[in-house]
Amino acid sequence: MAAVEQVYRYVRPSSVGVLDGLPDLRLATSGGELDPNPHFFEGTLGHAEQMAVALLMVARVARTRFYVPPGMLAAVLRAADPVVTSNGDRLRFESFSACCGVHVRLDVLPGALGGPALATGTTNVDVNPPMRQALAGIGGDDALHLSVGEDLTVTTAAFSVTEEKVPLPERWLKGFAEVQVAGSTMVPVLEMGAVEARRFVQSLPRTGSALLWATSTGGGLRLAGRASPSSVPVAGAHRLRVLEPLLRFATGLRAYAPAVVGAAPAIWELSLQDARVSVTLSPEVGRGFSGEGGVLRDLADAHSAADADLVSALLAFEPRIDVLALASDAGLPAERVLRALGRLGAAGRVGYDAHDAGYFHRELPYDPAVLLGMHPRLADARALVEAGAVQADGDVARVRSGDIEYVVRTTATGTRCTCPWYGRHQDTRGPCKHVLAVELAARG
Amino acid sequence: MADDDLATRVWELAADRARLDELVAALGPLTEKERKAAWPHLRAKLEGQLLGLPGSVLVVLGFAGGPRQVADVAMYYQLDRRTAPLAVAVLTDRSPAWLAALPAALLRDGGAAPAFPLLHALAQEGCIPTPDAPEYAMSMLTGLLPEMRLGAPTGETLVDRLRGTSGILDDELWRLFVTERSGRVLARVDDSWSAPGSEAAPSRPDLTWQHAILELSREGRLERDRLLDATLGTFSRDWAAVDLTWFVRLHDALAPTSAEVAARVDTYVRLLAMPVGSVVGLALRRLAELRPVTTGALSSLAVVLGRPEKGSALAALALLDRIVEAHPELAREAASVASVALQHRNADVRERATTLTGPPEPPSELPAPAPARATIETVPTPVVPVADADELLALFVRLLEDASEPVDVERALEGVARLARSAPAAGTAALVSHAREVATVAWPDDAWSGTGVRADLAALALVWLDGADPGPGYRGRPYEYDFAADTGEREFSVEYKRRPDWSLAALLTLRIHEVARSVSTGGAQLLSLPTTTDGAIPAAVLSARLGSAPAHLPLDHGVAMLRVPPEQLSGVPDAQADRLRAYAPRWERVVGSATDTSGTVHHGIVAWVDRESAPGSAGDLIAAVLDRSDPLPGAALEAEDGIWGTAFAQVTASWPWLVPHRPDLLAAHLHPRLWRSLTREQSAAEPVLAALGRSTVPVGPVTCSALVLGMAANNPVTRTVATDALIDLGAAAHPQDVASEIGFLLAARVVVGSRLLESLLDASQVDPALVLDILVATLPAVVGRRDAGRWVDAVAALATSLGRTVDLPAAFRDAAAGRRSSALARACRRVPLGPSDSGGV
Repeated sequence: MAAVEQVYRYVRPSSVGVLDGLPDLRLATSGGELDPNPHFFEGTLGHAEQMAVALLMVARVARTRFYVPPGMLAAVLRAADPVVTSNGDRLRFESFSACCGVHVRLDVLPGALGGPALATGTTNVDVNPPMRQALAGIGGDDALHLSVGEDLTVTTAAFSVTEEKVPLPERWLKGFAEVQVAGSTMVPVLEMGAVEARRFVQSLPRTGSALLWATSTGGGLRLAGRASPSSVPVAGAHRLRVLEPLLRFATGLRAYAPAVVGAAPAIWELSLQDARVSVTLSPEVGRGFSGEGGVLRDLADAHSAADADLVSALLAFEPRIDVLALASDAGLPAERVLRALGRLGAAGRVGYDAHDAGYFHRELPYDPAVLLGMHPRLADARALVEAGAVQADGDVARVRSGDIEYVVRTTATGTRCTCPWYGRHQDTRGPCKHVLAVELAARG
Repeated sequence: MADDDLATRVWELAADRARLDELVAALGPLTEKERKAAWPHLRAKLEGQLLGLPGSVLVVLGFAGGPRQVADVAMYYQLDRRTAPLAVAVLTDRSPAWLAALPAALLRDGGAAPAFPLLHALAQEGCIPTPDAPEYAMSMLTGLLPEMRLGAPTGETLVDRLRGTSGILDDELWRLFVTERSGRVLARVDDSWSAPGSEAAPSRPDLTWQHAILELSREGRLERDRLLDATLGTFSRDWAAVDLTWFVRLHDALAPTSAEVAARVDTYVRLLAMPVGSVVGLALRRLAELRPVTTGALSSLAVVLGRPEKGSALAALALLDRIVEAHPELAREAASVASVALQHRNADVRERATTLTGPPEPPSELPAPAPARATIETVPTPVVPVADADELLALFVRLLEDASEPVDVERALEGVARLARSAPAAGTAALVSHAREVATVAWPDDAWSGTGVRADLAALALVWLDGADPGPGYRGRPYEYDFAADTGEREFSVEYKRRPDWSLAALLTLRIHEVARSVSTGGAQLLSLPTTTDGAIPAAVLSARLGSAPAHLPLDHGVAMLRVPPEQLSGVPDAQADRLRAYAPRWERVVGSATDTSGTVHHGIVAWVDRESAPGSAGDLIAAVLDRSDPLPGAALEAEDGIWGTAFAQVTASWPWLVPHRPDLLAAHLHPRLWRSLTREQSAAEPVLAALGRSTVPVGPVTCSALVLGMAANNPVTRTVATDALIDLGAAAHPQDVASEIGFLLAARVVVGSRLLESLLDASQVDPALVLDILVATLPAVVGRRDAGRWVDAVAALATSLGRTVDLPAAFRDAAAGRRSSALARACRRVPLGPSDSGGV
């Protein structure tokens, strides 16, 4: 599988020490739009033990492979470092599992931060083994001192840059970008208090990949074998057990799922003191978030590319993007702004906060050109069009792919294709390359 | 010297352990050019010598052109302690430019066999810095394995090797305590030596790492305080539980004294908050032994009480008790901590907590109601026949990928029979190409094997679109057998036998093949397409079809008859309908043995016999489906169907559509799969269990037996689906019938009681009254069982929450009335007793 080499350059390792009698968590940064080692925050962070456990959990997801394909050994890979976004009034720490099926985000809310951020932006943070051990030793509900990055112009201590190159599979990068888009179609479905949250998570099976449904009943929440209007899909329920260490701090648990009940991603949001942790699970354990194809039509649309360029120029790391205000500023209808945001989401340039039901600005610290270019189905569709493989005749089009001709038929209920990919996935993972090619050809 | 002469000379020296010094001396003066020229010859020799020579590593180091070549060729060669200095000498003499890159190359991909001894020796001699990569520490675990001869260890033990390897006790050994994943490898190595052995390979606990470390600690070569701290340090490194088990064992084996625990009390208190249960248990044990008790643990104990394990929670409460006893002023704070346990899943924990907190407040917190969303369709909807060949082609495209929707399978069968002479406007070539791939996949998912619906449908599509010959169809089950070959040796082969050949799985493939044969001769009008998605055909509809169709396919005719609701059969003018009207099974449960295709006899198989039914045959579908006259002999065969396949659930998904109105008969057919589900992960029973739950007619003991088996299945998903089915059936599954089956299956030791009880408690979240009725009716059957207390506890909790009283069996009444403090007696005393019981208490 193709991989992109990500270079991490930290001026020093992240560390935990003591400052003025408080634990002193110093997170080293690497990468970002403007500064190679940005300095986002300097101040106190409330609820020390809870935040330490939450940060450990974010780091743990990054180095966990929840699914190992048959015949493949679980390779010990250098995991990608977590990503932190400073939105001014809050910090968001994100990571993505090595199997591309679990995304976690810790939102540190304004109440926990002893002041505003020094700067906005997105960067990687170093999480090394000694720091993890030190984090595990932080206790109590008092504050700790947190710095995300440091001001290198005033740093007197000597430092030496450590550089590490980590190959990140394209599939992983693409999934990390697209997972945010999945949240934009979800609504809150289940909500429960801390006691029920603890009981439910602790009762989840420890193994198994089957799709089950968390269902609200008169006596609490249970896993059922079939869907109901009050259920949320949970494929590989053991993956949700990543929340277990945080249950003792939880004040509630909320689950989000698409408005139409079906096998789909779901978001589980654990409320903490002045923080939230959101875990997004892929619809199948063996299926990562890459390849969902939900944004392919937007990406194929030349107009949305221009809109996205315009919209992105107006973004300024807002914690919640006001679509109407943005539409007004951009002079575009809100619908086109939303499509542009979807496109930006696929490129890792905005995230989606299900709790706020809105996008927030963050630029994944990976090469945006690489992220945008990683849509092989779209590339294949363009190649088919360029090769003149599409022959349209009214509602029926023939697409020659290799030695075989597939038929794309447009009906009142949608567009369907005779290829095996469409046979397997139907409309659940975006259009197949033949449908995309027909649509591209129709646009000329 | 010519290149091959040099190679021959080197090879001779490398083959003789006594002449390795001579080999090193011979290599020293060689130029890089000479080494490069001889390397291909030597590499070829090395690759032809799988076991290696005593000097293989020396040869590789002396001649390979770079570190990658060294790692690739020397990957499997061992380097013993005697040869390691010679290896260093070879490299020192040669002084290759790539020496600095050698550690990374040797340690990549899990490490080459000689990595640790070579790198350690090089570092000791100052040729390279000691590698700091975690892979180096991990390579020590395999690099210090004892030498083996004929499967037995020889020579030095691990302790000897650790004692004899200079510097290792000061540096590398300690790295195990900071290297993630070392614990799981240590556990694997130690388990292999300490597992119960045999006469030929006795257990050798003296070869374990734990033994070695303890021995070295006793000798004073490893400082005990440092060892304890390093061990405790692993528990807070945020490692997975599997990586900590070995260190927990080591800590317990170190058996820290009270003074040592007291000196580290803060560390032990901090461990109470760790996520791994074994670590929490370790900390609780040590803190419980501490005198005087530490108050520092107070707030951390709340975390322990939130954990699901009963043992940890009770230990935490006991510690709280001791804290309050020693420090009465902390009683209020301790009560606050103990209140966490009032929500614990275990009744003993809850009850124990009330001694510190007082009576609990009634629980009030339940999930908030869900918002309105698009509803799931549960009412049967009309089945729409495919309109034309193009739609049929699209349907086949889908089914070739996923045939788990029986309605689509039925529509395709009906459509292809009707449209046999019609061709799609386009797309034929693509479908034919793909159908060929699907139909010709290797056994066991190939066409007409009875285990792959997709392959059967692919073969059918080829008959329709490509004019393929449908062939003879179902071959029967594959039986392995061995025979004496001409060489005199035993060889294995596979023979297909059609015996018995009228299971539901076989009938499905026979039926698809019948349609394929029909398509090959021009098609037919099928009778059996259901009118609604519950698989039913109203009598009037079938009568009309019978009147309009000139000829019927025999199996299809039978399927259609089975789809008519029994109460409407009188409205169908057909002899087959008369047979079904006369159907009146008399079910009888049997438990016995059966033989599978490999000749293995399995015991404890539960089956349901209908002695009223006649033996079936593959040509008479109704007789085949109704036949449960002697199911036990074939039960192991039916349980085995599809075990090697990848999608047998697509086969079982169609079973409810063969028997849509007779849940007990369907459940009887399912029993072999359910018996399999008790011990295996994959049973494919789920679609049928779900269908049983949707049954709209009363169900009897056969269905109840199926549900109980499903709720005790090994796979949690099977248990969940069976539990759903019980919930869906509600009162249609009579509690007394369910309890009767539970009692029988528990007594026969067929099911695991704890799994079953968990499933029932799961169901109680939705229908507590139903589950309480089942549990109360089950109680007489659990008298005398070791886990009786758990069953009684469940009754107590449900009866209390529902405000109901319960009449206990006499044995439990006595337990409640006595003074015993067993878990059972305590549980019995928690049950709200009915008037007749309470009078005696």
